[in-house]
Amino acid sequence: MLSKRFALIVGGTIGGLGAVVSITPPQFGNSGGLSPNATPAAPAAATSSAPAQSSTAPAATPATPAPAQSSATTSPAQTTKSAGASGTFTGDVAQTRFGPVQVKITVSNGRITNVTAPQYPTESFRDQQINAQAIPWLEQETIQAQSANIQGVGGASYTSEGFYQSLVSALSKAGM
Amino acid sequence: MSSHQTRAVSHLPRHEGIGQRYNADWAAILLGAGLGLTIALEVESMSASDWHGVYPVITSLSRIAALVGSYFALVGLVLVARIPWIERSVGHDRLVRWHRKLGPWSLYLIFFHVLLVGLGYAGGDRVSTIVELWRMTVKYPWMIEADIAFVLMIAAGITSYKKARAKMSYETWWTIHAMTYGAIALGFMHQVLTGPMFIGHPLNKYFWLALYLGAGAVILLWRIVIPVARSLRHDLKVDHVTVEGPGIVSIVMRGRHVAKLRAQGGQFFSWRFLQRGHFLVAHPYSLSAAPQQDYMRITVKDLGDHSADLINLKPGTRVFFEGPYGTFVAGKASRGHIVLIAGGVGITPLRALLDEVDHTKEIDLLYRVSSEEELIFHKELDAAAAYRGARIHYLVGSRREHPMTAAYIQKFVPAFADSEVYVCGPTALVERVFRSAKDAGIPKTRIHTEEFEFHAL
Repeated sequence: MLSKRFALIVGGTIGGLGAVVSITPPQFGNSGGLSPNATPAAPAAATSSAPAQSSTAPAATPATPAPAQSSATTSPAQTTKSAGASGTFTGDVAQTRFGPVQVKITVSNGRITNVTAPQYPTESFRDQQINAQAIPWLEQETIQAQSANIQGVGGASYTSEGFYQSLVSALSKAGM
Repeated sequence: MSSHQTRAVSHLPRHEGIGQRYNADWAAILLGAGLGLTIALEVESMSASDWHGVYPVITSLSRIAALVGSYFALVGLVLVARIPWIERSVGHDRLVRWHRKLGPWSLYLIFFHVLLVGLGYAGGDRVSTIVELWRMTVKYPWMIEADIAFVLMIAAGITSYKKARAKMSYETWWTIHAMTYGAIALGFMHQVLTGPMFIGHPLNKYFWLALYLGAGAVILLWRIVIPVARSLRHDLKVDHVTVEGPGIVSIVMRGRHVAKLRAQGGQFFSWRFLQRGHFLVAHPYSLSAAPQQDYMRITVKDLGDHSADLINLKPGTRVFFEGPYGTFVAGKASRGHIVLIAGGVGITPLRALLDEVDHTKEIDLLYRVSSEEELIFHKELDAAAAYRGARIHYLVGSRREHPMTAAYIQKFVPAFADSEVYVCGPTALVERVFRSAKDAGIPKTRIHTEEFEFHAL
């Protein structure tokens, strides 16, 4: 009788695990947040498919913010946005308790198309593991919000705060 | 004397009827499904970096250990949360047994979590494990609380270990054990704030929060709100206290609508007397008589620090209770012949059970005590003998004089092999009689045991 009930428990476990895995397949092949453009396992990742070519995209856009900014002022409003800035803008480095955070955004016609974090705390292995989860989430949140109006990530509140500060500075450089 | 017919008919013992078995099966499936979802939290949030290298694998394992350990801890609490349909369908005794099986696993897993997380991160950072554990404690949020929780859980584990438990009073054990609730709550925040399976995974976080809140709500409702409400409604108060023997007292309580509690002889309640020195700790004691009108009686031997003082309970003292619990009841008997075996103060539930056995059944009571003055309920038992023909066998003397082997029991009860057996007393006696009954060919389903050391201490 006990072994039968044990089998039921194991069956239930496999069922529960199987159900979740079949609905949202885990991203084992993905190297997590350690590579900047990796998407988190959350299903919402699909919405940020736009910057899929992003690793090559920044090279194509003007490297320095200054001309982009000027071009933005000279060619106003074809899109719904009033100012259609384009270019790559790097935010100031924000110092957090666990280390520096820096955000780089790619803007095309006033839309944030790509967000990366060239710097974030990786001092300890623990930081790496936390930020491997947090950074992709913050990047994705920014693309969805199209502003600095992001929630941040519970469990990585210092990184989130630093990310926010640097993002605000990058956005202001982009004139957004 | 229907023994021949009943032996020929194959039947299900009443306490594990078909419905009950299905419910227990469903509970097992549900337990498994929850475990699957819990493991999925980690699996879903894993990425390739989590298994590239020995140390990431160690930290991944540590997280699985933590999740499963916490899940087992929550399930362990819910099992003993006195949820009526679970109590009815699985049975309190079995729930406690499951709780006792699950508890150690929860502790081992959480222990492994601490060990492995320290080892894994220390390896990644190239420092010693001790340094890493210290760093984590000071650097990350809610880690000090998590450390406290870990210590509390270890304390609860050690004090519940059989040999340690036997050395301490019920009050000490209970107090340390009750801290586990706090420990589990304290551990929660460090999980959701630093666990990679929760960071950036709101769905995981909601699931985990729902699990904790659900468990908390169930415990609050069934272990606090409802018992308090029922205690107030039944308005139970100490009526009088009498001395039954050396260090043995009976407490008679009176309430309102006591019959509605549907308590049966052989069952127990968890009692809490609202008098200084008694109300902090609840004690489980069996009824020593079937409830009559609005009266209930318990009989307690001076074993813990608390029970010695019960003699001083003042009439009128309010009593809070949880219960009735237990499936050690006469209704379970499927045989026409019932053999009750008591050791020392283990007589109490059997004395109450005697009130409930229906009159078509034959009764033998073997009552073993080490000395004459320990015999209690002498008059009541003799009255039962006279009134309904129960055969009472007083066995006064040492264990060696009354070895309780199958052969020895058969001297008093020749038809032992075809009876329903109820035994209550110290663990040694209960185990001895259990073996004897099996030796005599009695199937497990017809042997009902109650170790009073576990709940009537």
